[in-house]
Amino acid sequence: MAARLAEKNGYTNVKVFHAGVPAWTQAGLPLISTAQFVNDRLGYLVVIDTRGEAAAKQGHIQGAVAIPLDRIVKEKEQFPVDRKAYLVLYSDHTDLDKLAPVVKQISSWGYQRVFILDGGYQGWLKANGPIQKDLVRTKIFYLPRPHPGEITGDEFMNIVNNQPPDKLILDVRTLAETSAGMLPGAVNIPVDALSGRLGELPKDKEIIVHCRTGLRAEMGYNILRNAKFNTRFLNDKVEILENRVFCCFK
Amino acid sequence: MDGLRSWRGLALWMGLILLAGASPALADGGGMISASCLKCHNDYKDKANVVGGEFQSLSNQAKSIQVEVGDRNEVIKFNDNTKVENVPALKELKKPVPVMVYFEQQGSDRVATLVKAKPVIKVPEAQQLSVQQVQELMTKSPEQGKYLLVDSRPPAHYQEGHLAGAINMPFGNMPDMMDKLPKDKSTLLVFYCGGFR
Repeated sequence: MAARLAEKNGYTNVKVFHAGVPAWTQAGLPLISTAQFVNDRLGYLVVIDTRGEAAAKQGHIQGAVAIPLDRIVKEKEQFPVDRKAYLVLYSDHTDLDKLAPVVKQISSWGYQRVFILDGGYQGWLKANGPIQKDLVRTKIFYLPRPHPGEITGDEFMNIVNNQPPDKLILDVRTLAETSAGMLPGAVNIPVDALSGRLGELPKDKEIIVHCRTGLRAEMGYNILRNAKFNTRFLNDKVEILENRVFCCFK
Repeated sequence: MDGLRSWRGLALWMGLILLAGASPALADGGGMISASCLKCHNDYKDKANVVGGEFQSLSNQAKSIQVEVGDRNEVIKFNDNTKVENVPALKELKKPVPVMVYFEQQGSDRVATLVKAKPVIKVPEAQQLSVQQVQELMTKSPEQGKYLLVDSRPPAHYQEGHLAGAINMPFGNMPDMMDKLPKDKSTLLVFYCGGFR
């Protein structure tokens, strides 16, 4: 462990913040994100320019929404529904003392991923992050980043409705569940039997896996992927009632 | 009778060979233990019937768990005989706890016999700092307070969000990074990571 290693190297005053990051964020205390992290995830996080619209017009992080610091709390209504959304606040510099109280406020609404940009806008410029001028967003817009292998609900329903010949829908629910109805054209192999029945599946089609909630679909996807099938899965809810399909309300 | 027995034996062996060949676990030839586990458990590198990585999810209906190993997930079944260590029960496992899963190949399935969660590291109370103590320390700059915060987590976690002023020394790479620590060995070093469970 790290502290022991430091002691072995002669350090005499070594402590451990044992509760670590989870306890820190739970207390509503701020964490600092690097420009690299924000840049890698750009488009899939809410970046809030707290300097106000006039400063943002001179230049802001690409896609950032301009909300002056003193107005953020009043804009609670337009924050994403998803409490796991990534939210990054920035000012001109790190400005920890200025931003920390707002981070605490936003965390108290249940958001678990509220960060402050390291070095603020000046740090972003130094890191050559992409910027925009003039056109400033004033409404929050959040898009979660899709996980590898996931298919969107829209594409999934397109496949269900149009049955393209190069796709196969694989239903990995139990027999008890599928007896109440299955999607048109779908093949059923319960996920717990899948490893033993791989021979039943074609290698020349993309296999789209679904279940009732997405959890077992992901397992099915991983079993197929590890066996070198071409596959994706629906990480969403599907219900089939009287031959009608209800999808994507997770 | 003897002839029949040996014929059965031969069939059994052929079956086993076929099963071994079809085992999905080895489909991509990748190791079954993640690189981050191997940093401390290098002796597990070529161990058979163990998957090591970060626990991802559990499905009661599929009686299966998923473990992230490198860039893929392995799916392993469990049953009532599956033993657990360092957590009260399988359902108490929470992402992202590192686990070692010992399994038996049963036909085309891998069935877990033991799921071992990474044990909580014990630190003497006198050496621990609380949230409040760290907060208090941080009211001074590292230079003023003569301290350094060290984040022991992997770089991706540090990049996402770290305590202000902390440096990143991922535990596995620490021996090669000792020069990042202050020269003055009486400096207060505060290590932290993803916390105990």
